[in-house]
Amino acid sequence: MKSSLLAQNLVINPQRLFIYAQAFRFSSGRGRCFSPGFEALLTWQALSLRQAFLNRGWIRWWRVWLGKA
Amino acid sequence: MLKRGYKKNIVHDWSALQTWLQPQLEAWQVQTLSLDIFDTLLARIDTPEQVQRSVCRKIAQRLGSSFKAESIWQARQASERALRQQAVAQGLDYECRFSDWVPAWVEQLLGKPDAELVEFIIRTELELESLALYVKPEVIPFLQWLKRSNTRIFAISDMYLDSQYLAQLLSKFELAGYFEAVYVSSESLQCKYSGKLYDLVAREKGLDKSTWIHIGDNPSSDYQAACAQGLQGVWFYEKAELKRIDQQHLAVQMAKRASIWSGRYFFSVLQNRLQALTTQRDDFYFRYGRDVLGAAFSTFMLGLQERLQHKPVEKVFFVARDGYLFQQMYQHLAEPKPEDAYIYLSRRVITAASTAEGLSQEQAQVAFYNPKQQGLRSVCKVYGLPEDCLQALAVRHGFKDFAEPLHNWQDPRLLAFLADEEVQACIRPVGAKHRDLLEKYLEQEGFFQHQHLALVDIGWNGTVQKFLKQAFGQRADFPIINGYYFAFVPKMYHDFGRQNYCEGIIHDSRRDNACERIPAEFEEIFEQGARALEATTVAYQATSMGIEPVLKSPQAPDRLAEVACNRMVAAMQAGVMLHWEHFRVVQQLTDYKSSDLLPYVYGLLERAVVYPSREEAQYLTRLVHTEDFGHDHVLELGRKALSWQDFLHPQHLWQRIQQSAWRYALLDSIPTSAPNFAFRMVYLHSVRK
Repeated sequence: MKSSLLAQNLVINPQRLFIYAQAFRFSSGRGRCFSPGFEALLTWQALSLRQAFLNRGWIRWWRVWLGKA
Repeated sequence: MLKRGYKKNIVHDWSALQTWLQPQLEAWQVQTLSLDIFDTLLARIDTPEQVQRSVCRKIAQRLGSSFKAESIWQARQASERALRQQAVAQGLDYECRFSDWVPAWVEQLLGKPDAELVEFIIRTELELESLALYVKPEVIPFLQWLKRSNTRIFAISDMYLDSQYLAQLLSKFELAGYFEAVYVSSESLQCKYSGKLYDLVAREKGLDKSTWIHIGDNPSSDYQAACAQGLQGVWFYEKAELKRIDQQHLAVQMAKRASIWSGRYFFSVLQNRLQALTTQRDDFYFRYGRDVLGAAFSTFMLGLQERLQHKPVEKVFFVARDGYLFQQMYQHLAEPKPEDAYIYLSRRVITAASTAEGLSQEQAQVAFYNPKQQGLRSVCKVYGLPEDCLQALAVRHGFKDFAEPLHNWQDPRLLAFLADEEVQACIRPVGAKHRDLLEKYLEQEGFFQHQHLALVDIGWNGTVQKFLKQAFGQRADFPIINGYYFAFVPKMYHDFGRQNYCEGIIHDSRRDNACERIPAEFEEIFEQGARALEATTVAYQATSMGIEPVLKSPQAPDRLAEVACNRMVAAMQAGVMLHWEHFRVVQQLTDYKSSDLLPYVYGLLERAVVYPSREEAQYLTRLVHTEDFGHDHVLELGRKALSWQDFLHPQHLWQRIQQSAWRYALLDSIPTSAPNFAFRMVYLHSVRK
């Protein structure tokens, strides 16, 4: 059995938490305490995407490669 | 001369750097090597700004409520800016020195100098910096190799800390011995980015720039500025590290929104620390303790610490057996804190003592909460009553089978049995004996010597606390008790009497929050994770040493099963303790309260309990669970995964689900979490709202 990465289970993807919280939303309606919130989730996704596209590491690498660091 | 070329100026890791340097060192083409410190030799578990903000919070705590952390932070920035601009006006670089900056900052805050506060700030900043920093894993072997090559090695940094403070940090991380000298921009107010610091080092040390290589993570100051000064700059480009730093920044940004985000940020810092400072262990139980139970138990301990500060008590008693791990964790908390003790109590000995005045119907029904209850036999086991004497009397009231389960708690036979004076006469002397020994034991442990004390246990009904009050509450010296539980679900009792407070820190059913119920969905794993390895207390005995607890026989079937699981429990607890060690450091850096972490912890537990991985289901169901209510039963957490045949018999399926200790593990053979989600919804609908 493959062992998990070190302390991998400590940080959960907010999307997963959002889905888990829906089980409460569709039943008792009193379980949104660990939902990240739809708006916050969208913000997180947008910031993550920006980070992926505007990768600082790549930008730095190109600047050095082009001699413009 | 050095070979120059773009490819050679970018290295991605320490072993590649070593491979690239080796031939040049052997050929004496390189005689001097300098290294950047921050983000090159040392990495951070948290961003510099967060560390500095933490310093500001600690200053605010010291100065009192008239100072807000945010205004202290603003003052810090303003004084830093003023000093840096002053340096530029003098023709130096945009830099300042911490030992100049802190007195200016303090003066700006208080309007007068304060040497003590200056000393406090410098000490705090250095302490927190050392908590946030760590040496990158491959650095030490690289420096050891470099040292053997007789190359001159320098550390050069653009940093506001004075060289003496930087030297302290390097010594703390056992790096100082590798360097001939440490140069920092704050001393001369000349930086690497302008090239002036390289010039200064070359002049002072008489270095030949053509045989000097400088390595650092900043492409401007470590690479371009170095090359511009005629030495060989090498950019240390660690892609994964840059990505990690970006994610840290994102987590910090999101943490401002509170909700789960602050907890997620906290545990991501903790994860960074664990990844940097600990090694992977294959043992599943250790990992489960570290990554799942550790988060829940540490948050509980933080909540307990906050409550003890808010409502001080004279002594904290950790109740056997599930209070064992909490006491271990408590002993790692910094002083000042109340004295602590471990007290041998169990539901078994407490309930036995409570029958000194006879057995009521309310007491009798406690025995029937056990799913494997055997009617009056269970009553005898739970309260330690003599079966022989009572069995004969039970026949008189219509009980043909003494072990017949009683589901109707108002059964006329039971009511008549309890109303029988002969029955009560048989019960009272036994109860009085138990009560007498328990009272002596409590006196011996100093229980009645304090006016106000705390009891700490895992949960759930507060039986021990309830019966302690019931049995000894009439004593004039009976203390005010604050009971703190990991989870408090008072299903059996509602009235705990005067000055007998109970609170569930992670879960308290009286708060009526469906989300925080999660520990109650699989309470056995939390009990197993926290329990002592020794057996449960079944009675007390008077010895020459005083009153001593009598533990359950090692030959009892449930004890044998427990002993077989002890290795797994010990591994989980080792994992929890490792988590707790790093949790305290991260808490010191972030100053988060338990309420900041709880929403995320509920999410984390929801994942672990409702959506377990196959590995989790497989290993955790090997544990067995026992109870301390007098029976020898073993509750197997073992799962028999649901099959399609189960779905053909819905009634049988529902029964299996209801009887299962960990119902969500039944679904682990299905390779998607969708059934768990659907089942969770159905279950939440069906439970009492």
